[in-house]
Amino acid sequence: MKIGNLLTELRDRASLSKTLVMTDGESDEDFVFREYKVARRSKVLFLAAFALLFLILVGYKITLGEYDIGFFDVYDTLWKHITGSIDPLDPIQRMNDNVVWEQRLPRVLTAILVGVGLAAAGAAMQSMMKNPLADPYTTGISSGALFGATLAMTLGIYIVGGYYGRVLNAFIFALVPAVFIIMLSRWKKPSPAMMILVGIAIMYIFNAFQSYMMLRADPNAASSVYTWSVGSIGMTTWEQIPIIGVISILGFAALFIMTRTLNALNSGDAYAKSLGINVDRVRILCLILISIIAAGIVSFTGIIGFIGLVSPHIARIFVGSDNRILLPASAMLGACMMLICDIVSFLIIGATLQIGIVTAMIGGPIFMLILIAQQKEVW
Amino acid sequence: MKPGVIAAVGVALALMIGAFMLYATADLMGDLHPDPYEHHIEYEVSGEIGGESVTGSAVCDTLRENDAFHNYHIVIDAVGAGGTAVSQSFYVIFGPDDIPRFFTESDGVYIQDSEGQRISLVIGDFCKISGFGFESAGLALIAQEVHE
Repeated sequence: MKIGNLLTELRDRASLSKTLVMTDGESDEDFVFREYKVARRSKVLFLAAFALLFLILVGYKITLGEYDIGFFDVYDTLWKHITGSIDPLDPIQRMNDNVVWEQRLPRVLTAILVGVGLAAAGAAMQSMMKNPLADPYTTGISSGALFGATLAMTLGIYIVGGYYGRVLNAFIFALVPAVFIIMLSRWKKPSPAMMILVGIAIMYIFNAFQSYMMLRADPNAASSVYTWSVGSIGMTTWEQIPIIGVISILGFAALFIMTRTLNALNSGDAYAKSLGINVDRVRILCLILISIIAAGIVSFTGIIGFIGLVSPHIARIFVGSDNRILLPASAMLGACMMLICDIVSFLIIGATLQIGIVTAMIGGPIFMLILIAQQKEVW
Repeated sequence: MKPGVIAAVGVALALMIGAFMLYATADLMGDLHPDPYEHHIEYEVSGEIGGESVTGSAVCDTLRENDAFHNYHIVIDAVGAGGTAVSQSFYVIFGPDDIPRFFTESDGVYIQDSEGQRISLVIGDFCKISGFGFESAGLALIAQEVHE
Protein backbone atom coordinates (compact mmCIF):
# COMPACT_ATOMS: atom_id res chain seq x y z
CA MET A 1 0.00 0.00 0.00
CA LYS A 2 2.69 2.49 -1.00
CA ILE A 3 0.15 4.82 -2.58
CA GLY A 4 -1.93 4.67 0.59
CA ASN A 5 1.14 5.65 2.61
CA LEU A 6 1.85 8.49 0.22
CA LEU A 7 -1.70 9.82 0.56
CA THR A 8 -1.47 9.61 4.36
CA GLU A 9 1.88 11.40 4.23
CA LEU A 10 0.43 14.14 2.05
CA ARG A 11 -2.53 14.50 4.37
CA ASP A 12 -0.25 14.68 7.39
CA ARG A 13 1.92 17.30 5.72
CA ALA A 14 -1.16 19.29 4.86
CA SER A 15 -2.15 19.39 8.52
CA LEU A 16 1.46 19.30 9.79
CA SER A 17 0.11 17.37 12.73
CA LYS A 18 3.07 15.00 12.75
CA THR A 19 5.78 17.65 12.70
CA LEU A 20 4.49 19.80 15.55
CA VAL A 21 5.85 19.15 19.00
CA MET A 22 4.68 20.76 22.21
CA THR A 23 7.39 23.10 23.49
CA ASP A 24 8.44 23.51 27.11
CA GLY A 25 6.12 25.75 29.07
CA GLU A 26 3.50 25.71 26.35
CA SER A 27 -0.01 25.14 27.58
CA ASP A 28 -2.42 22.75 25.88
CA GLU A 29 -4.48 25.70 24.72
CA ASP A 30 -1.47 27.47 23.24
CA PHE A 31 -0.34 24.29 21.53
CA VAL A 32 -3.79 23.69 20.01
CA PHE A 33 -3.95 27.30 18.87
CA ARG A 34 -0.45 27.06 17.34
CA GLU A 35 -1.40 23.78 15.67
CA TYR A 36 -4.54 25.42 14.26
CA LYS A 37 -2.57 28.36 12.92
CA VAL A 38 0.07 26.14 11.30
CA ALA A 39 -2.59 23.90 9.76
CA ARG A 40 -4.44 26.92 8.41
CA ARG A 41 -1.24 28.41 7.01
CA SER A 42 -0.35 25.13 5.29
CA LYS A 43 -3.81 25.02 3.71
CA VAL A 44 -3.39 28.55 2.41
CA LEU A 45 0.01 27.48 1.04
CA PHE A 46 -1.62 24.57 -0.78
CA LEU A 47 -4.23 26.95 -2.18
CA ALA A 48 -1.43 29.21 -3.38
CA ALA A 49 0.32 26.18 -4.94
CA PHE A 50 -2.90 25.26 -6.78
CA ALA A 51 -3.18 28.86 -7.97
CA LEU A 52 0.40 28.77 -9.26
CA LEU A 53 -0.21 25.46 -11.04
CA PHE A 54 -3.34 26.99 -12.54
CA LEU A 55 -1.45 30.00 -13.91
CA ILE A 56 1.28 27.78 -15.40
CA LEU A 57 -1.31 25.55 -17.08
CA VAL A 58 -3.22 28.54 -18.51
CA GLY A 59 0.06 30.01 -19.75
CA TYR A 60 1.03 26.76 -21.45
CA LYS A 61 -2.39 25.78 -22.80
CA ILE A 62 -2.87 29.01 -24.67
CA THR A 63 0.31 28.35 -26.66
CA LEU A 64 -0.93 24.96 -27.89
CA GLY A 65 -2.82 24.64 -31.13
CA GLU A 66 -2.58 23.45 -34.71
CA TYR A 67 -2.11 26.96 -36.07
CA ASP A 68 1.63 27.57 -36.14
CA ILE A 69 2.37 30.47 -33.81
CA GLY A 70 5.39 30.65 -31.52
CA PHE A 71 5.27 30.52 -27.72
CA PHE A 72 6.28 34.16 -27.22
CA ASP A 73 4.28 35.34 -30.25
CA VAL A 74 1.14 34.19 -28.41
CA TYR A 75 1.89 36.54 -25.52
CA ASP A 76 2.95 39.30 -27.89
CA THR A 77 -0.39 38.92 -29.67
CA LEU A 78 -2.31 38.94 -26.37
CA TRP A 79 -0.46 42.06 -25.26
CA LYS A 80 -1.11 43.78 -28.58
CA HIS A 81 -4.80 42.89 -28.37
CA ILE A 82 -5.11 44.21 -24.82
CA THR A 83 -3.27 47.43 -25.66
CA GLY A 84 -5.11 47.76 -28.98
CA SER A 85 -1.88 47.82 -31.02
CA ILE A 86 -2.71 45.13 -33.58
CA ASP A 87 -1.81 46.51 -37.00
CA PRO A 88 -5.09 46.44 -38.98
CA LEU A 89 -3.16 46.39 -42.27
CA ASP A 90 -1.03 43.37 -41.33
CA PRO A 91 -3.02 40.19 -42.08
CA ILE A 92 -0.52 37.98 -40.24
CA GLN A 93 -0.98 39.96 -37.01
CA ARG A 94 -4.74 39.95 -37.50
CA MET A 95 -4.76 36.19 -38.11
CA ASN A 96 -2.61 35.56 -35.03
CA ASP A 97 -4.97 37.78 -33.08
CA ASN A 98 -7.99 35.88 -34.38
CA VAL A 99 -6.50 32.50 -33.48
CA VAL A 100 -5.29 33.50 -30.02
CA TRP A 101 -8.10 35.82 -28.96
CA GLU A 102 -11.14 34.46 -30.79
CA GLN A 103 -10.34 30.76 -30.90
CA ARG A 104 -7.93 29.68 -28.17
CA LEU A 105 -8.88 32.01 -25.35
CA PRO A 106 -12.60 31.05 -25.35
CA ARG A 107 -11.55 27.39 -25.22
CA VAL A 108 -9.21 28.00 -22.27
CA LEU A 109 -11.82 30.10 -20.45
CA THR A 110 -14.47 27.45 -21.05
CA ALA A 111 -12.18 24.79 -19.59
CA ILE A 112 -11.59 26.95 -16.50
CA LEU A 113 -15.24 27.85 -15.96
CA VAL A 114 -16.45 24.29 -16.51
CA GLY A 115 -13.82 22.97 -14.11
CA VAL A 116 -14.74 25.53 -11.44
CA GLY A 117 -18.47 24.90 -11.78
CA LEU A 118 -18.38 21.10 -11.87
CA ALA A 119 -15.79 20.74 -9.10
CA ALA A 120 -17.60 23.16 -6.79
CA ALA A 121 -20.89 21.36 -7.49
CA GLY A 122 -19.23 17.99 -6.80
CA ALA A 123 -17.62 19.16 -3.55
CA ALA A 124 -20.90 20.65 -2.30
CA MET A 125 -22.85 17.56 -3.28
CA GLN A 126 -20.40 15.20 -1.57
CA SER A 127 -20.63 17.23 1.66
CA MET A 128 -24.38 17.60 1.46
CA MET A 129 -25.04 13.91 0.80
CA LYS A 130 -22.09 12.70 2.87
CA ASN A 131 -21.20 10.51 -0.07
CA PRO A 132 -17.86 10.43 -1.88
CA LEU A 133 -19.53 9.28 -5.10
CA ALA A 134 -21.95 12.19 -5.32
CA ASP A 135 -21.60 14.65 -8.17
CA PRO A 136 -23.95 15.94 -10.87
CA TYR A 137 -22.83 13.07 -13.15
CA THR A 138 -23.49 10.15 -10.79
CA THR A 139 -26.78 11.52 -9.49
CA GLY A 140 -28.25 11.74 -12.99
CA ILE A 141 -28.46 15.54 -13.00
CA SER A 142 -26.09 15.85 -15.98
CA SER A 143 -27.97 13.11 -17.86
CA GLY A 144 -31.25 14.92 -17.22
CA ALA A 145 -29.73 18.12 -18.59
CA LEU A 146 -28.37 16.24 -21.60
CA PHE A 147 -31.79 14.71 -22.27
CA GLY A 148 -33.45 18.15 -22.14
CA ALA A 149 -30.88 19.63 -24.51
CA THR A 150 -31.17 16.63 -26.89
CA LEU A 151 -34.94 17.01 -26.92
CA ALA A 152 -34.44 20.56 -28.18
CA MET A 153 -31.71 19.68 -30.68
CA THR A 154 -33.25 16.60 -32.30
CA LEU A 155 -37.01 17.02 -32.02
CA GLY A 156 -37.15 20.79 -31.69
CA ILE A 157 -39.17 20.57 -28.48
CA TYR A 158 -38.51 23.69 -26.45
CA ILE A 159 -40.14 24.92 -23.27
CA VAL A 160 -39.12 28.42 -24.31
CA GLY A 161 -38.06 29.19 -27.89
CA GLY A 162 -34.76 30.59 -29.15
CA TYR A 163 -31.16 29.57 -28.70
CA TYR A 164 -31.31 29.69 -24.91
CA GLY A 165 -34.35 27.42 -25.00
CA ARG A 166 -31.83 24.58 -25.04
CA VAL A 167 -30.31 25.84 -21.79
CA LEU A 168 -33.73 26.13 -20.18
CA ASN A 169 -34.70 22.65 -21.41
CA ALA A 170 -31.49 21.31 -19.88
CA PHE A 171 -32.20 23.05 -16.58
CA ILE A 172 -35.79 21.79 -16.34
CA PHE A 173 -34.78 18.19 -17.01
CA ALA A 174 -31.75 18.47 -14.70
CA LEU A 175 -34.22 19.25 -11.94
CA VAL A 176 -36.06 15.92 -12.48
CA PRO A 177 -33.37 13.70 -10.86
CA ALA A 178 -32.67 16.42 -8.28
CA VAL A 179 -36.34 16.57 -7.25
CA PHE A 180 -36.58 12.79 -7.26
CA ILE A 181 -33.56 12.50 -4.96
CA ILE A 182 -34.96 15.18 -2.64
CA MET A 183 -38.35 13.45 -2.47
CA LEU A 184 -36.72 10.09 -1.89
CA SER A 185 -34.53 11.48 0.87
CA ARG A 186 -37.56 13.01 2.60
CA TRP A 187 -39.85 10.00 2.44
CA LYS A 188 -37.69 6.91 2.51
CA LYS A 189 -34.53 8.10 4.30
CA PRO A 190 -32.32 6.13 1.90
CA SER A 191 -28.72 5.23 2.60
CA PRO A 192 -26.08 7.20 0.68
CA ALA A 193 -25.45 4.07 -1.40
CA MET A 194 -29.10 3.87 -2.36
CA MET A 195 -29.15 7.53 -3.37
CA ILE A 196 -26.23 7.05 -5.74
CA LEU A 197 -27.72 3.86 -7.16
CA VAL A 198 -31.01 5.68 -7.72
CA GLY A 199 -29.04 8.46 -9.43
CA ILE A 200 -27.32 5.94 -11.69
CA ALA A 201 -30.67 4.29 -12.47
CA ILE A 202 -32.10 7.70 -13.42
CA MET A 203 -29.03 8.29 -15.56
CA TYR A 204 -29.65 5.04 -17.46
CA ILE A 205 -33.35 5.84 -17.91
CA PHE A 206 -32.49 9.23 -19.43
CA ASN A 207 -29.80 7.60 -21.57
CA ALA A 208 -32.35 5.08 -22.87
CA PHE A 209 -34.79 7.84 -23.85
CA GLN A 210 -31.95 9.78 -25.41
CA SER A 211 -30.86 6.74 -27.46
CA TYR A 212 -34.44 6.33 -28.67
CA MET A 213 -34.53 9.98 -29.75
CA MET A 214 -31.25 9.51 -31.61
CA LEU A 215 -32.69 6.55 -33.51
CA ARG A 216 -35.66 8.66 -34.58
CA ALA A 217 -33.60 11.75 -35.37
CA ASP A 218 -32.12 12.86 -38.67
CA PRO A 219 -28.70 11.12 -38.99
CA ASN A 220 -26.82 14.39 -39.31
CA ALA A 221 -28.53 15.81 -36.22
CA ALA A 222 -27.90 12.56 -34.34
CA SER A 223 -24.24 12.66 -35.35
CA SER A 224 -23.79 16.21 -34.12
CA VAL A 225 -25.66 15.47 -30.87
CA TYR A 226 -23.46 12.42 -30.22
CA THR A 227 -20.30 14.44 -30.88
CA TRP A 228 -21.53 17.22 -28.62
CA SER A 229 -22.75 14.92 -25.85
CA VAL A 230 -19.30 13.31 -25.36
CA GLY A 231 -18.25 16.65 -23.90
CA SER A 232 -16.45 19.27 -25.89
CA ILE A 233 -15.09 22.71 -25.04
CA GLY A 234 -14.08 23.59 -28.59
CA MET A 235 -17.43 25.01 -29.66
CA THR A 236 -17.74 28.02 -27.40
CA THR A 237 -17.29 31.58 -28.62
CA TRP A 238 -16.99 34.90 -26.78
CA GLU A 239 -20.79 35.35 -26.96
CA GLN A 240 -21.30 32.26 -24.77
CA ILE A 241 -18.46 32.84 -22.29
CA PRO A 242 -20.32 35.44 -20.16
CA ILE A 243 -23.27 33.05 -19.75
CA ILE A 244 -21.10 30.09 -18.76
CA GLY A 245 -19.13 32.49 -16.55
CA VAL A 246 -22.21 33.78 -14.76
CA ILE A 247 -23.52 30.23 -14.21
CA SER A 248 -20.18 28.91 -12.92
CA ILE A 249 -18.93 31.86 -10.91
CA LEU A 250 -22.27 32.85 -9.38
CA GLY A 251 -23.03 29.18 -8.72
CA PHE A 252 -19.67 28.81 -7.02
CA ALA A 253 -20.21 32.03 -5.02
CA ALA A 254 -23.66 30.88 -3.89
CA LEU A 255 -22.29 27.50 -2.80
CA PHE A 256 -19.38 29.24 -1.07
CA ILE A 257 -21.83 31.29 0.98
CA MET A 258 -23.32 27.99 2.15
CA THR A 259 -20.02 26.40 3.20
CA ARG A 260 -20.59 26.81 6.97
CA THR A 261 -23.98 25.14 6.60
CA LEU A 262 -22.42 22.41 4.46
CA ASN A 263 -19.83 21.83 7.19
CA ALA A 264 -22.65 21.34 9.66
CA LEU A 265 -24.46 18.95 7.28
CA ASN A 266 -21.25 17.02 6.83
CA SER A 267 -21.27 16.36 10.57
CA GLY A 268 -24.71 14.80 10.42
CA ASP A 269 -28.32 15.92 10.16
CA ALA A 270 -28.89 15.78 13.92
CA TYR A 271 -25.94 18.07 14.58
CA ALA A 272 -27.06 20.48 11.84
CA LYS A 273 -30.59 20.55 13.25
CA SER A 274 -29.22 21.24 16.72
CA LEU A 275 -27.63 24.39 15.26
CA GLY A 276 -31.04 25.51 14.04
CA ILE A 277 -30.39 24.64 10.38
CA ASN A 278 -33.39 23.65 8.30
CA VAL A 279 -31.69 20.61 6.77
CA ASP A 280 -34.36 19.88 4.13
CA ARG A 281 -34.48 23.48 2.93
CA VAL A 282 -30.69 23.66 2.69
CA ARG A 283 -30.59 20.39 0.71
CA ILE A 284 -33.27 21.61 -1.71
CA LEU A 285 -31.52 24.95 -2.19
CA CYS A 286 -28.19 23.22 -2.68
CA LEU A 287 -29.62 20.75 -5.22
CA ILE A 288 -31.28 23.57 -7.16
CA LEU A 289 -27.97 25.45 -7.30
CA ILE A 290 -26.11 22.32 -8.40
CA SER A 291 -28.79 21.63 -11.04
CA ILE A 292 -28.43 25.16 -12.42
CA ILE A 293 -24.64 24.80 -12.62
CA ALA A 294 -24.78 21.32 -14.19
CA ALA A 295 -27.57 22.23 -16.63
CA GLY A 296 -25.85 25.42 -17.69
CA ILE A 297 -22.56 23.67 -18.29
CA VAL A 298 -24.01 20.56 -19.98
CA SER A 299 -26.15 22.63 -22.36
CA PHE A 300 -23.01 24.34 -23.69
CA THR A 301 -20.39 21.59 -23.51
CA GLY A 302 -22.15 18.22 -23.22
CA ILE A 303 -21.36 15.80 -20.40
CA ILE A 304 -17.92 16.14 -18.86
CA GLY A 305 -17.65 13.47 -16.21
CA PHE A 306 -15.29 12.81 -13.30
CA ILE A 307 -14.16 16.44 -12.81
CA GLY A 308 -16.83 16.99 -10.15
CA LEU A 309 -16.07 13.59 -8.68
CA VAL A 310 -12.27 13.57 -8.55
CA SER A 311 -11.30 17.19 -7.88
CA PRO A 312 -12.86 17.35 -4.39
CA HIS A 313 -11.20 14.04 -3.46
CA ILE A 314 -7.75 15.25 -4.46
CA ALA A 315 -8.33 18.65 -2.84
CA ARG A 316 -9.49 16.93 0.36
CA ILE A 317 -6.15 15.12 0.62
CA PHE A 318 -4.36 18.49 0.74
CA VAL A 319 -6.72 20.86 2.53
CA GLY A 320 -9.01 18.62 4.58
CA SER A 321 -12.79 18.59 4.73
CA ASP A 322 -13.53 22.15 5.82
CA ASN A 323 -15.77 23.34 2.99
CA ARG A 324 -14.64 26.95 3.42
CA ILE A 325 -11.26 25.89 2.00
CA LEU A 326 -12.27 22.68 0.25
CA LEU A 327 -14.71 24.42 -2.12
CA PRO A 328 -12.22 26.98 -3.54
CA ALA A 329 -9.45 24.36 -3.58
CA SER A 330 -11.71 21.92 -5.48
CA ALA A 331 -12.75 24.65 -7.90
CA MET A 332 -9.15 25.57 -8.63
CA LEU A 333 -8.18 21.92 -8.98
CA GLY A 334 -11.19 21.31 -11.24
CA ALA A 335 -9.99 24.11 -13.52
CA CYS A 336 -6.46 22.66 -13.45
CA MET A 337 -7.76 19.17 -14.27
CA MET A 338 -9.74 20.47 -17.22
CA LEU A 339 -6.66 22.27 -18.54
CA ILE A 340 -4.48 19.19 -17.99
CA CYS A 341 -6.99 16.97 -19.83
CA ASP A 342 -7.17 19.45 -22.72
CA ILE A 343 -3.37 19.63 -22.89
CA VAL A 344 -3.07 15.81 -22.78
CA SER A 345 -5.72 15.37 -25.47
CA PHE A 346 -3.91 17.86 -27.74
CA LEU A 347 -0.44 16.40 -27.14
CA ILE A 348 -1.53 12.79 -27.66
CA ILE A 349 -4.16 12.92 -30.37
CA GLY A 350 -4.66 16.52 -31.42
CA ALA A 351 -7.41 19.04 -31.02
CA THR A 352 -10.06 16.70 -32.45
CA LEU A 353 -10.46 14.54 -29.32
CA GLN A 354 -13.40 15.57 -27.17
CA ILE A 355 -12.41 16.42 -23.62
CA GLY A 356 -15.21 14.32 -22.07
CA ILE A 357 -13.47 11.09 -23.02
CA VAL A 358 -10.12 12.38 -21.69
CA THR A 359 -11.58 13.40 -18.33
CA ALA A 360 -13.13 9.91 -18.03
CA MET A 361 -9.93 8.10 -19.01
CA ILE A 362 -7.73 10.22 -16.69
CA GLY A 363 -10.20 11.01 -13.90
CA GLY A 364 -11.61 7.47 -13.64
CA PRO A 365 -8.32 5.70 -12.77
CA ILE A 366 -7.32 8.54 -10.39
CA PHE A 367 -10.65 8.22 -8.61
CA MET A 368 -10.30 4.42 -8.29
CA LEU A 369 -6.72 4.81 -7.09
CA ILE A 370 -7.79 7.24 -4.35
CA LEU A 371 -10.62 4.94 -3.24
CA ILE A 372 -8.43 1.84 -3.14
CA ALA A 373 -5.47 3.62 -1.52
CA GLN A 374 -7.52 5.27 1.21
CA GLN A 375 -9.20 1.97 2.11
CA LYS A 376 -11.82 3.72 4.18
CA GLU A 377 -15.53 3.07 4.30
CA VAL A 378 -17.01 4.62 1.16
CA TRP A 379 -20.59 4.59 2.36
CA MET B 1 -11.04 -4.53 0.24
CA LYS B 2 -14.28 -3.25 1.76
CA PRO B 3 -17.51 -3.96 -0.14
CA GLY B 4 -18.28 -0.25 -0.38
CA VAL B 5 -14.91 0.38 -2.07
CA ILE B 6 -15.52 -2.49 -4.51
CA ALA B 7 -18.97 -1.09 -5.36
CA ALA B 8 -17.56 2.43 -5.79
CA VAL B 9 -14.78 1.16 -8.06
CA GLY B 10 -17.44 -0.75 -10.03
CA VAL B 11 -19.49 2.42 -10.44
CA ALA B 12 -16.41 4.36 -11.57
CA LEU B 13 -15.57 1.61 -14.09
CA ALA B 14 -19.16 1.58 -15.40
CA LEU B 15 -19.05 5.35 -15.86
CA MET B 16 -15.73 5.13 -17.68
CA ILE B 17 -17.04 2.41 -19.98
CA GLY B 18 -20.19 4.47 -20.56
CA ALA B 19 -18.09 7.50 -21.55
CA PHE B 20 -15.98 5.35 -23.86
CA MET B 21 -19.06 3.79 -25.50
CA LEU B 22 -20.51 7.26 -26.08
CA TYR B 23 -17.22 8.37 -27.62
CA ALA B 24 -17.04 5.25 -29.82
CA THR B 25 -20.61 5.85 -31.03
CA ALA B 26 -19.85 9.52 -31.71
CA ASP B 27 -16.70 8.52 -33.59
CA LEU B 28 -18.62 5.96 -35.66
CA MET B 29 -21.35 8.48 -36.43
CA GLY B 30 -18.62 10.97 -37.36
CA ASP B 31 -17.18 8.45 -39.83
CA LEU B 32 -20.62 7.83 -41.35
CA HIS B 33 -21.36 11.55 -41.55
CA PRO B 34 -18.02 13.30 -42.01
CA ASP B 35 -17.70 16.96 -41.16
CA PRO B 36 -18.36 18.80 -44.46
CA TYR B 37 -15.90 21.50 -43.39
CA GLU B 38 -13.00 19.07 -43.03
CA HIS B 39 -11.00 19.17 -46.24
CA HIS B 40 -7.84 17.68 -47.60
CA ILE B 41 -7.50 19.20 -51.04
CA GLU B 42 -4.69 18.71 -53.52
CA TYR B 43 -3.92 21.28 -56.22
CA GLU B 44 -1.96 21.48 -59.43
CA VAL B 45 0.19 24.58 -59.43
CA SER B 46 1.58 26.46 -62.40
CA GLY B 47 3.03 29.92 -62.93
CA GLU B 48 6.31 31.69 -63.18
CA ILE B 49 9.16 32.99 -61.08
CA GLY B 50 11.37 35.73 -62.49
CA GLY B 51 10.16 34.93 -65.99
CA GLU B 52 10.90 31.21 -65.58
CA SER B 53 7.91 28.84 -65.69
CA VAL B 54 7.23 26.71 -62.63
CA THR B 55 4.97 23.74 -61.95
CA GLY B 56 4.21 21.90 -58.76
CA SER B 57 1.57 20.99 -56.25
CA ALA B 58 -0.17 22.38 -53.20
CA VAL B 59 -2.13 20.87 -50.34
CA CYS B 60 -4.85 22.37 -48.17
CA ASP B 61 -5.46 20.80 -44.75
CA THR B 62 -7.89 21.59 -41.96
CA LEU B 63 -6.55 22.91 -38.66
CA ARG B 64 -8.70 22.55 -35.56
CA GLU B 65 -8.55 25.29 -32.99
CA ASN B 66 -12.17 26.08 -32.23
CA ASP B 67 -15.19 24.44 -33.84
CA ALA B 68 -16.88 27.79 -34.42
CA PHE B 69 -14.12 28.74 -36.90
CA HIS B 70 -12.71 26.82 -39.85
CA ASN B 71 -8.96 27.13 -40.31
CA TYR B 72 -7.00 25.89 -43.30
CA HIS B 73 -3.30 25.69 -43.98
CA ILE B 74 -2.12 25.72 -47.58
CA VAL B 75 1.39 24.59 -48.49
CA ILE B 76 2.75 25.17 -52.01
CA ASP B 77 5.75 23.37 -53.47
CA ALA B 78 6.82 24.14 -57.02
CA VAL B 79 9.98 23.78 -59.13
CA GLY B 80 11.02 26.00 -62.02
CA ALA B 81 12.26 24.78 -65.39
CA GLY B 82 15.74 25.82 -64.36
CA GLY B 83 15.52 23.96 -61.07
CA THR B 84 14.47 26.91 -58.89
CA ALA B 85 12.46 25.56 -55.95
CA VAL B 86 9.57 27.55 -54.55
CA SER B 87 8.01 26.77 -51.18
CA GLN B 88 5.30 28.96 -49.70
CA SER B 89 2.50 28.53 -47.18
CA PHE B 90 -0.36 30.58 -45.82
CA TYR B 91 -3.38 30.26 -43.57
CA VAL B 92 -7.02 31.01 -44.25
CA ILE B 93 -9.51 31.48 -41.41
CA PHE B 94 -13.24 31.29 -42.04
CA GLY B 95 -15.62 32.72 -39.47
CA PRO B 96 -18.92 31.14 -38.37
CA ASP B 97 -20.47 32.92 -41.40
CA ASP B 98 -18.27 30.85 -43.80
CA ILE B 99 -16.55 33.99 -45.09
CA PRO B 100 -12.74 34.16 -45.01
CA ARG B 101 -11.44 36.65 -42.50
CA PHE B 102 -9.10 39.45 -43.60
CA PHE B 103 -9.97 39.02 -47.27
CA THR B 104 -12.02 41.41 -49.38
CA GLU B 105 -14.48 40.12 -51.91
CA SER B 106 -14.39 41.24 -55.52
CA ASP B 107 -16.50 39.52 -58.21
CA GLY B 108 -16.76 36.30 -56.23
CA VAL B 109 -13.00 36.14 -55.57
CA TYR B 110 -11.60 36.83 -52.11
CA ILE B 111 -8.40 38.87 -52.14
CA GLN B 112 -5.81 39.69 -49.51
CA ASP B 113 -3.06 42.21 -50.21
CA SER B 114 -0.21 42.71 -47.77
CA GLU B 115 3.43 43.68 -47.87
CA GLY B 116 3.84 42.93 -51.56
CA GLN B 117 1.99 39.62 -51.33
CA ARG B 118 -1.38 39.01 -52.92
CA ILE B 119 -3.51 35.95 -52.29
CA SER B 120 -6.78 35.36 -54.13
CA LEU B 121 -9.22 32.56 -53.31
CA VAL B 122 -12.05 30.89 -55.18
CA ILE B 123 -14.37 29.38 -52.60
CA GLY B 124 -17.05 26.71 -52.90
CA ASP B 125 -19.53 25.36 -50.38
CA PHE B 126 -18.46 24.55 -46.81
CA CYS B 127 -15.41 26.82 -47.03
CA LYS B 128 -13.83 24.66 -49.72
CA ILE B 129 -10.99 26.52 -51.45
CA SER B 130 -11.29 25.17 -54.99
CA GLY B 131 -8.53 27.34 -56.41
CA PHE B 132 -6.19 30.14 -55.47
CA GLY B 133 -3.63 32.55 -56.76
CA PHE B 134 -0.41 33.54 -55.01
CA GLU B 135 1.69 36.52 -56.05
CA SER B 136 4.75 38.07 -54.49
CA ALA B 137 7.96 39.68 -55.75
CA GLY B 138 8.70 38.00 -59.08
CA LEU B 139 6.44 35.06 -58.26
CA ALA B 140 2.99 34.37 -59.67
CA LEU B 141 1.26 31.05 -59.09
CA ILE B 142 -2.18 29.71 -59.92
CA ALA B 143 -3.51 26.56 -58.19
CA GLN B 144 -6.44 24.46 -59.35
CA GLU B 145 -7.97 21.60 -57.40
CA VAL B 146 -7.06 18.16 -58.71
CA HIS B 147 -10.19 16.16 -59.51
CA GLU B 148 -9.58 12.41 -59.53
